[in-house]
Amino acid sequence: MIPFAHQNDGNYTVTFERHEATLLSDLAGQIAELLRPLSPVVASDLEPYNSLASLDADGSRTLHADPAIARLLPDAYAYDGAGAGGGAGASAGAASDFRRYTERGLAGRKVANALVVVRSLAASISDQSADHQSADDQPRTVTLTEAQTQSWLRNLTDIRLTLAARIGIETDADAASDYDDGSPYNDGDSETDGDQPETDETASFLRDIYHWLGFVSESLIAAIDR
Amino acid sequence: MTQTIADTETRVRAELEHPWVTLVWNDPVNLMTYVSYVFRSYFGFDRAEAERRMLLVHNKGRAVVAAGSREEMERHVEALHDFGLWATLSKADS
Repeated sequence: MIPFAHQNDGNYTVTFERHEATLLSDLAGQIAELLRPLSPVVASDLEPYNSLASLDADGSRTLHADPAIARLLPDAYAYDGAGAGGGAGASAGAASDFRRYTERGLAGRKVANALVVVRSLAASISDQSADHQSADDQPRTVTLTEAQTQSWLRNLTDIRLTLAARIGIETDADAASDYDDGSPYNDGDSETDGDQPETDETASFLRDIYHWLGFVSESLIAAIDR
Repeated sequence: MTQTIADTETRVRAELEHPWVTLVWNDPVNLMTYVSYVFRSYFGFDRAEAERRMLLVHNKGRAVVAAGSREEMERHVEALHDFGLWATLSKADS
């Protein structure tokens, strides 16, 4: 990957290896699939991130059981039984009402952001694959408008939140210890790995992806924010 | 970003009349640079103020990022959920 750069014409460029583009597109597509059932039917026609909230009240009533969806579509009113202020019951009711009216809009905008990322990468993945075998693995530069970068920023975050929920990064300590054993900069293959179940290898692979996505995100923020 | 005395007075009065706040909570995923960027780009905080509130989130577990009417705070929370930040609104005195 060649990091994001803000060009003189106002657009942004980033260059991915083909396998990086494929990975990112797959992950964005998974977010779209995860949230599509909760979003309005015409999610792809929504303005990616600044459309009005959906006007119906068809959203769910309670926080989702899937920890990734619960993190992507969190409660808007805090209630933890402490009973502060209006009372835990009142806040739970407010959270439920708010979710009914806003969840589909929020999910739909997240789906739309994911589809922006998928579309931006489509050329990097499919270009020339049929007739230019030798050029196939050449890194491809993606050009994004300012508006598209806003979808990218949000979707990269959604992907990282989802991965974190899947691999159990729930506290700052988890995230910190993760750097010790999951970082691609360590050799990672200690002798204790010999008889670990396969799920550990999968988790380690997901952690590497998670950190790489953090790098992609940092790169985009640095390009936007100078 | 500049803020006139009139603006400040309007804001303070709004807070007194509509004691709702938007809170952002710490999470282990969101990058500090990202949280700071969101605070600046969405709320219009200057760099120092955005950093201060971002560090409050990071070190104290949460920070108030806005105060005002309930409807206004609901809009902020929804926008922050768009960004993937963990935000809630509540009564200011709770």
